[in-house]
Amino acid sequence: MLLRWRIAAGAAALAAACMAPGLAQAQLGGLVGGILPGGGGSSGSTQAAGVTAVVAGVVTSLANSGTVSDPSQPVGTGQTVASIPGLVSAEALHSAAMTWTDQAASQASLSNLALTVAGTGITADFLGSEAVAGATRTGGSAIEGLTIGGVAVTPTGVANQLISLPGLSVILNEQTQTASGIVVNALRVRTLDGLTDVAVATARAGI
Amino acid sequence: MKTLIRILCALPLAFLASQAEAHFVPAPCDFITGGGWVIVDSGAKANFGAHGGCKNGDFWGHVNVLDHSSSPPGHLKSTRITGYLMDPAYPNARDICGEGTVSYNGSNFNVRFRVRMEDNGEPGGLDRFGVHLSNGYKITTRELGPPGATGGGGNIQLHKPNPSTTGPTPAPSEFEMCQGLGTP
Repeated sequence: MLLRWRIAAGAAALAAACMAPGLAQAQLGGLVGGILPGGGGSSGSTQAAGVTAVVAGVVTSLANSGTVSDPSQPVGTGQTVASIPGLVSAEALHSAAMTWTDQAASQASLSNLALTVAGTGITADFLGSEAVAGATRTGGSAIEGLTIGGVAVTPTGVANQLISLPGLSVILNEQTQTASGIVVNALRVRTLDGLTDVAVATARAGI
Repeated sequence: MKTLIRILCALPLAFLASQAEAHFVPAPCDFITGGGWVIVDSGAKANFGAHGGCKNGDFWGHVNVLDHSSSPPGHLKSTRITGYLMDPAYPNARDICGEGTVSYNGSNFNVRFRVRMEDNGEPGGLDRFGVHLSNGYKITTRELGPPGATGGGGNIQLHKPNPSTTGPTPAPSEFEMCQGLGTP
């Protein structure tokens, strides 16, 4: 499935210093639990969203498809431009989710992300994720033109690539297996104090 | 002579008829989803996010396109999906037709649109996107991002058919769905 990592060259004093590629899911501890896509939600749900943010307990979602209730009822939405003031803005947000009798699939994407968490700016030309649950559970992310703190970052392509910054945790291509499916966040940013938690391009598929 | 004239007249009509029938609603209906960007003729990026298919005896979907050739970018947002079509000559492609609003240069106006999305495999560098608006604006269908399999630019997924998601019955014609708007 989708897994492309075409990033502008240059990379990466920041990346070299901070990346810990291939971090096992189990090591993420509480990060994958809670409100945001990754560990929360019902195990069988199929849904997608452009951005889901929790700031001081307040949940805001952009381009949220909603959850599929029946195979005859695909869901989806889109926003040309959307923002959460002071936190994030993006363009061409899109999310869609659908199920069959034997499979579930979802996709989310956005362009021109500008995200600021705890004073650190994160930008990307494009972020997308896909999830499919059926006989197998697969997912992946596409991250293009990513910068963190103004420095270009090249994703490794490995799931759950952790980038640790002072007071901040960034995960690229976050993938979480659930009892009946998979959740993929192209980008997950969380402050270590737990006050801010942002998931970008979330695809969830469960059956 | 009259016979010859009839034949000569019938040929282009037959051709047009075959063209009109070239695009139809896939049965059973399937879905296409995708997001990304293409480089338009000006050299600027146009970002898009779109999906389409059938649902509850109607068409379903959403389309957003932003063309950064201008500042602020011109953008199209769909307000209604009126068609979802395939062409056997391009089995990996689907067209989404509909109505939408364009915001450009400080003004807003309504248009009809026809978007083509083409899934040519993973990871998506060979996928294609194009859009045609009723005001004459067109991004001819082209590869996502820089051309080439490693060019990036997003991804388009053509999903398998779902017999429980139904379109209109009987299926409308291409003209009824797209009001004569040609493939981008």
